Amino acid sequence: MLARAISVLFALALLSGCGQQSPQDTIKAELPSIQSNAATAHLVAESWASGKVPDAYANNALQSAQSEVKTSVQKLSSLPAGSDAEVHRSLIQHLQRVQAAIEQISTSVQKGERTVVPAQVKQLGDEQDALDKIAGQLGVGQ
Amino acid sequence: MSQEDRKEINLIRDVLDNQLVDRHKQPMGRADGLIIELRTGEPPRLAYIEAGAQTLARRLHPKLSNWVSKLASRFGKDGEPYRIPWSRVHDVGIDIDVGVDAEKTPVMLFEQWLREHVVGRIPGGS
Amino acid sequence: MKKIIQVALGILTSIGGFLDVGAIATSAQAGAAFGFELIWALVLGTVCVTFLVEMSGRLAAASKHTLAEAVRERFGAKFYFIQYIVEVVVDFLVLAAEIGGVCIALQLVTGLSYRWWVLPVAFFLWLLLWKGTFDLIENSVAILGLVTLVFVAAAVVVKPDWSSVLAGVVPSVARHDTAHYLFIAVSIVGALVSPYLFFFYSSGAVESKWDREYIGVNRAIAVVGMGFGSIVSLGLLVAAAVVLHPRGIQVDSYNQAALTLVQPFGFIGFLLFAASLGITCFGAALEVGLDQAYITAQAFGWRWGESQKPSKDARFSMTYTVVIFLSSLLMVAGIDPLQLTLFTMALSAAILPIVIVPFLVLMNDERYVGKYRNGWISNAVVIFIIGLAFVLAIVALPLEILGG
Repeated sequence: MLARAISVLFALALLSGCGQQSPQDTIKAELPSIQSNAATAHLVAESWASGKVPDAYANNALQSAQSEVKTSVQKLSSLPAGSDAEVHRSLIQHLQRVQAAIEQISTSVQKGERTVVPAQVKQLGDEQDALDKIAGQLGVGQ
Repeated sequence: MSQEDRKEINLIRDVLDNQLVDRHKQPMGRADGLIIELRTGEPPRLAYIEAGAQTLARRLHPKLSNWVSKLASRFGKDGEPYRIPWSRVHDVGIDIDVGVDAEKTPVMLFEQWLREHVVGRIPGGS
Repeated sequence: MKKIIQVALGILTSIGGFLDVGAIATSAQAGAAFGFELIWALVLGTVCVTFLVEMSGRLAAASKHTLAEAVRERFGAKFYFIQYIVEVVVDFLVLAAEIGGVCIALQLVTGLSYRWWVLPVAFFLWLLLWKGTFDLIENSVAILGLVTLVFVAAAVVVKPDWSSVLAGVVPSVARHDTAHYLFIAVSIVGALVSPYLFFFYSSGAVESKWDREYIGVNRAIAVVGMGFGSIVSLGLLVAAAVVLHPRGIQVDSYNQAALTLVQPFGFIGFLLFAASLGITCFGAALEVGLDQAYITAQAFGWRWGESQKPSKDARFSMTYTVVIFLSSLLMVAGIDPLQLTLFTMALSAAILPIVIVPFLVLMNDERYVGKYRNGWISNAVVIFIIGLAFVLAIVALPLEILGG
């Protein structure tokens, strides 16, 4: 009986869930994920540069962070700009720069270029700060 | 149990579903059913304990019971209820001790088949 | 003197046996997402599981019955099989998650994707059960499990603000993202209070031929073993709260969880994280695999025992063989191990009443435990926490799924 009740609940939740979201909701959901992945890439790259983690792990972690960010950015780019087109455009720009910074790092780690990574990490850090700022303006993110 | 030794047993509570243990102290299934014999002019008599997947399945759901008997007929005789005469019941405590040799009864057919055809052929099995 | 050695040995073997993939995943997530806020869930789960593990040992020592056997006899076939099916399904998912944890640990170290490791790991798991004895398995899991103390060390090294840690012990409402907060709280309780633990522990006690003499030992094992498990979980939660939370890193994969030890300890920390994850998951996988075979064999009254040769209990041995194989297929199919773990742990919390209510009835039934029956405190504590976890689970599971 109980099992049946639970499964019905699940079915209902699945049916109604993950459906339509307002643009604002999508930003609310995606932005923290992008920030989290950027921060992960940051810490992983930093650790890799100082020899704290193996190459395979760093590659793997960076690639998955990169692809997660890419998907999220694509999702946000396709949103209608809404009331404040200016802020939205600026947000997308910042996101793309974060994405590019992660991609750069990922490529360098793949090539084993330990010396250039710290500078790229710093670059990523700056982009993260800028993103945090604009997220704060939008009232979302961490 | 001797005739003089009088003891009351709550069948559903203390016998049904309890562990059956054979004369070599080996587990041999559970008391899945109880059979009472009705006799004209005499009081009914507790005749058998039934053990077997079909008896159990019948208690759980009629559909399950059909399914089990189909499966059983395909795989030979296992699953057919095995009846242990009450006279063979030595003691009812935590477990039910019965005076039979499990290996010689149909309740162990599936176990024996697995032992011979599967487990015995995997290295380290025996 | 002999008694003291026995007690010490029992306690030692209990350490490390109570941690699993769920505890690691949920603690890391909780710390990363909510800082110290969810420590109360860990405390509640620990108190509850300590009481319940003690009970299942006491049931075995006092009645010579395992939990599954006692439920089967006391509540009859119909009820038992409802519980059995629910338990088998959840165990199946838990086993897959534990196997996934071992494979992720291997992926971390080698870089080779976890999916390649699933079948070799499953085979090794099976081989140990096939060839090994109960004591061998328990002892090696316990001793290797001590490596997880590294999480406690990490919590100290990262220098948390201990007053905030203490403040987390008091239950609080979420400051943000209530649905996810509740979901993680429920998952923490579900990970600590895993239903398989009670079936497994009581079967192990019967297999080790416990009698009334062991009731004191059992109490010590429950308290020390569970205490160890939760101190390790707390260590990980605190480390995640200090290392990951301020940076805004959420734990969406084990890659991120590994950073909790990389930050304080560097490369050694990375290796120790992989070792901790691999060993605890492997140990738990052994337990869950065995548990499936225990509850099945006990349901039908088959011969069972891990310390016997497989040919002596062919049906029992084939049960864990099949179960391990099927669970590993779920991982080969490529389900995300971390998501599976979190979902399964919350589901574990949701099924708790089905397992715990009959358990409590048994523990108050003199025909089973005689004078060793529960006091009102044990009853009240367990009913309160299980009730709370169940309500939270019913609320949080749909919310989490709704949230995508």
